[in-house]
Amino acid sequence: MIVGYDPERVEALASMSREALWSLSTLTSTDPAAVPALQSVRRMHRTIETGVLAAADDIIRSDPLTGSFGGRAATAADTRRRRDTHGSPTPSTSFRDLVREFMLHRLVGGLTLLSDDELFLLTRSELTAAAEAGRLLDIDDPDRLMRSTALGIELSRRAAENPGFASRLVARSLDDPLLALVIAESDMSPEIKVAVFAATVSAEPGRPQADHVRGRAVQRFLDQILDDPALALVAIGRPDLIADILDWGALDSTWVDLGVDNAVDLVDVAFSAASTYDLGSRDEPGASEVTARSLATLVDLMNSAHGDRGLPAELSAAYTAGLLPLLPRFVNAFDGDEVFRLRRDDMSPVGVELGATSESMFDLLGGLARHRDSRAMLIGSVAALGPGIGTRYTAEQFAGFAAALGVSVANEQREEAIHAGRQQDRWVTGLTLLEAGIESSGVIARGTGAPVSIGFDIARWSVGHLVPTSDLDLDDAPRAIEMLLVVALTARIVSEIGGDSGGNDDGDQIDDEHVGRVEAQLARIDELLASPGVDAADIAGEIDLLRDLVDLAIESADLDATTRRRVAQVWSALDDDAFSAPPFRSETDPDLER
Amino acid sequence: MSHHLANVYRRRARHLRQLAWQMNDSPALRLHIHAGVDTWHGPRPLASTSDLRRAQDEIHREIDDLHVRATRFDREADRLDAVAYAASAAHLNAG
Repeated sequence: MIVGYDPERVEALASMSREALWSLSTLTSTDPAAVPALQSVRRMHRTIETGVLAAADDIIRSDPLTGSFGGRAATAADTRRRRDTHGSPTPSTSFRDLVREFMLHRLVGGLTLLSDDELFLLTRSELTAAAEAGRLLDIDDPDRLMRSTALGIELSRRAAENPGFASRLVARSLDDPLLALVIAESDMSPEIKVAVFAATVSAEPGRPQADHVRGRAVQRFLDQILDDPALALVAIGRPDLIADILDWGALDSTWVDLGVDNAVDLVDVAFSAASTYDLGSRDEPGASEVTARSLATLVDLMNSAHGDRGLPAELSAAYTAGLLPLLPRFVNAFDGDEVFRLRRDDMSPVGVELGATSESMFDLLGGLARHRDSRAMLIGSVAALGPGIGTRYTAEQFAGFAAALGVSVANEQREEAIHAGRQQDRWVTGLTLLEAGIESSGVIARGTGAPVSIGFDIARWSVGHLVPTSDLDLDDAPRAIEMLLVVALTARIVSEIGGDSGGNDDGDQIDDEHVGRVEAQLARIDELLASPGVDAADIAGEIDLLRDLVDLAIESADLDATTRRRVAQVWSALDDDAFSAPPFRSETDPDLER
Repeated sequence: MSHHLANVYRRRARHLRQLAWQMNDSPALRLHIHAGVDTWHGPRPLASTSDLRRAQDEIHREIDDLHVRATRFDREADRLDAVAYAASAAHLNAG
């Protein structure tokens, strides 16, 4: 809201802003040492364009005396009227605008006389002429910008009137990068812009002239998407586009940084927009669908060839950061059900189906956790979910979620190990044991069956103390995975036996002797693993014994502080020394034998 | 004798200083003069002008940084020249 202004000065400000934008656009450098400086120049450009200039233009447009020209800037006639009323504006700042508006008006007028096909010929012939002259098209040339603005106005008008023309625009832009650039520089609808953007990034690299223009078009689209959440939302709704951005970045090494960096920003902005929309309008129909669509995009991506290859670390971190605000809603979305339903913050059974399975969602989280920063964010966030137990989700839901996440991360690690040709390492062995532990606790849970009072305090304690994030060595991925599983296991135990009653009536407690037996069993397995020619069946037998011991331990009802510490000790004993070379080869997983 | 890389560093230093000069000369850094309360006032103008000042501050920092980098490049060029000179002198003495 503008509460007061001087029309004369605002007009001068708009003019000065355009001059400033022009001067900024002339600043270029190919020196890598100038990259930060040029990034700040681009930010300044955006700040002026979307801040000062946009506000000034809005005033000029709404001022009854300045009038408007096609919804853009004041016409020469309008400006003359303003002069008559308010005196002469600064000639040095307004003359250029007057000429520009006049030229633009003339150009647009001329373009309206051309047929659709003739319009399409304009960009093609301009690019051809530059190629024949043996030079790269000067994209920042003021005359070209003028022509582009005029053509953009005419193309936008025809596209708005005729959907068929809009489709032709998209199709043509695939092999006409200058047309794509004109559309990028126009005021066309987000849907058309994103469609042309998608076509541009999916185009195969061609001659240097075309690639040069295509690069600038993509940059222009990305700049706008980053500035405009509405455009970003349309973009994020296209999984093919995200995938193509990555592919596009890989086409040419000189574009890698540009492509990936901007893709990161794109994801960041898109998720911010989605979260704001989602959280800010709970009752608005379709709000959750926005988030759901973004998630579905990521699921598709992670299950594509890109996901299999592994995402760039920066992109993975951006996705993870975008997902974190949604993590509490993942807990009750996962109920062991095959279909993943994103629910509201309450425990309502109603939810939005993503068209994805729960398994694929956990694949997504596991895939993201391949990278250190993403892993750190995920684990830290899981640890922070404790307070939601009992209010936003049940302890059982939380346990199920943490366990599934842990196993999913573990699977990714295992896949990575296999792909890396490392066969099986001690982490895989460790995880096999941990999975066995989880499984056995599940058996207990199913066996108990009776309603239990949920030990919220202990569950929170388990989150806060068993996973002290500050102590986590996040470079040590398997350790982090183990932590997740321990949280899951402990929460599940607590949910089954109750936290305040002191447990079952049998009086079985985890005492020193029991802990000693568990540790001895771990040492026994360790010894077998270290023996040459070890028989997998023997180890499996020992693991069964260990599982029995763990079962006994977790059946114990009295989870006082000492016991809890011992549970933690038992599990942490799995970490450092228990499993070491030679690799333990499982008989049940042929993949690991390769 | 001058090391060939020294020339590269000096050229880059010159380029960075020129870029810094161009950035400093941009009307964008003086735009705030035209965006004060005598031009407009209200929440949106205030926010726009604040954003502008922040962006200007950032540009000023980058200009300083370009000068620092240019100086560093010059120093590196001097160092390379000194090494090249010493190597040349040693070669002559040995000859």
